[in-house]
Amino acid sequence: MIRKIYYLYLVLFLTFSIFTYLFVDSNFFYLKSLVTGIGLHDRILVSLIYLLYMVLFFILYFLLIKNINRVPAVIKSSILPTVIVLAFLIFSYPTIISYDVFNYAATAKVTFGYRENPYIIMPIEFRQDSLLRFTQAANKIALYAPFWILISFIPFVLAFGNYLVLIYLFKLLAAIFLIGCVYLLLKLSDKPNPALYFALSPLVLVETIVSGHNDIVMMFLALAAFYFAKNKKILISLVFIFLSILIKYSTIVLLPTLIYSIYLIARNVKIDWDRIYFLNFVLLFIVFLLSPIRAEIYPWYAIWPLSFLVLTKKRNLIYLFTFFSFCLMARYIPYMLTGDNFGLTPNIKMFMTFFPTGIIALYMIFKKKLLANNSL
Amino acid sequence: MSRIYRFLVIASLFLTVFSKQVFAESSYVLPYPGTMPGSKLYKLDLIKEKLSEYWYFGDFAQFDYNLQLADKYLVEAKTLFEYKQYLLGYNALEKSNSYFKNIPPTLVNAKRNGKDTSDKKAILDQAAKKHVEELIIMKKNVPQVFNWSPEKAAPTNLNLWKLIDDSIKARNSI
Repeated sequence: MIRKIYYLYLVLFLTFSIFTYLFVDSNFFYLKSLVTGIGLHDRILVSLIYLLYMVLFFILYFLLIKNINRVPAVIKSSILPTVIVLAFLIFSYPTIISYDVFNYAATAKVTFGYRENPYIIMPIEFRQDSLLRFTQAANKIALYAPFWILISFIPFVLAFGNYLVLIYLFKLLAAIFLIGCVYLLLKLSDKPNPALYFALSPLVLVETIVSGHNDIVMMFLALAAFYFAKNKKILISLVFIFLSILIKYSTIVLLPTLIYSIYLIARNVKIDWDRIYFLNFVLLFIVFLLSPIRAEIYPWYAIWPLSFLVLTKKRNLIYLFTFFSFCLMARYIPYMLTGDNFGLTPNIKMFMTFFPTGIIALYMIFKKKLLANNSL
Repeated sequence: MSRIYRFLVIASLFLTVFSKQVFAESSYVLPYPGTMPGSKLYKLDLIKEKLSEYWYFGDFAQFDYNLQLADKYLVEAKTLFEYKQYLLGYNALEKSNSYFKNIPPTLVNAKRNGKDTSDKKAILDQAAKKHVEELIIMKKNVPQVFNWSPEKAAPTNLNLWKLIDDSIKARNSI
């Protein structure tokens, strides 16, 4: 049964990759022959299909994590189909939910193509560049920290000036770092369950491989910092946390827990890592909740707290976060449906994100189940 | 018919004599004056300015850097002249000129590097026009020559009008 569920999950992702091509923008001239306009004009249809995908993804995912002890054997015997689906996801079209990968390309072009400081010069200043036709944040200076811009040199060079290749390379890079995160989660836990929970999450897969968000790079470096701290490699640990901060700044909140862990290690005091990971989850969740101060709550920000939550023994909280992840992925629907980010849309998004999860959270708190220790 | 001609001649003469002359003004906006010489923060500003030169790498960034400072020192000169601080104003205007002269080469380099410089050229033209407007006003409010007598050195004559004329020439020559 679990095998069937896993295969169905893979097939769903495979078809989802194809579905993303309904959103190809006619300005993205590389894929002009694939433009259907359905994503733009048949809004009700695509919103319903998207909702159906998310419902099915999360139901199957929930069934998988409910039987998580049986999943490793299934994956081991299904390496090839898994790799094929991953490849399909890398070749999916990202703008179904976010244009960020185009922004990464634009920043890389300004920095390495035009050799201008991306924190001063905006992509829009290069009017002749075809990139402006399909990028959305052309009128903004670089939004990311310097280490991310440095990393973006690799895909930029390998793309040889072809933006389509560059987009896929950014997504490949994100997939590599996702594999890196899975490896570190396996190393940080005595069981494969946290890694599986993380790797199979529809939110993680869609936001990392389909949209190509760089949050996974930041979290890989943060997990590596704790991995090296745990192995008493203090200097390497500090280097990794600083590199993580230099991707997107958010992991700066992990400095106190890391330094506290290092302090305990130096004093040969036994560390309750479960507590440290839970604290990291709380800190990153606070940053996640504060993100509207800068912009708005973006679903991919949930990758930050989730990376540490899976390492804790709070199974009920993990289940609640799964439901919350679904609500976050559903946030895209109001815009998909209306094509408008103003008016009622922000309020509906806020309601969808917090109201259903809040009700369940209150129920779990009332029943004293939310923070109960019960490992996956 | 001759009445109509007479009316038209009188009307045009009336309009010529009594109409207000209007010149095209640049819409370019100059910055507010920042910290002034004598302020404790002024030295920090100079250090920041020097360090920024490295931060503003790239042809377009160098364009922005030099234009910002040319603007800043022009406004500084204007303010100092208004307060009759002619020596400091003179120095500020010299600095503005020096930064302004650095701008055209950044556009030459940008063009050589395959960048479309038409937007930047338009900004520079507008900025130059605005600078000239301000310099003309400035010239009306300063003496032609200012004799500066430092305590322990020989007095020097600062030819303010000549410097302003040279500044206008530099802006008009781009």
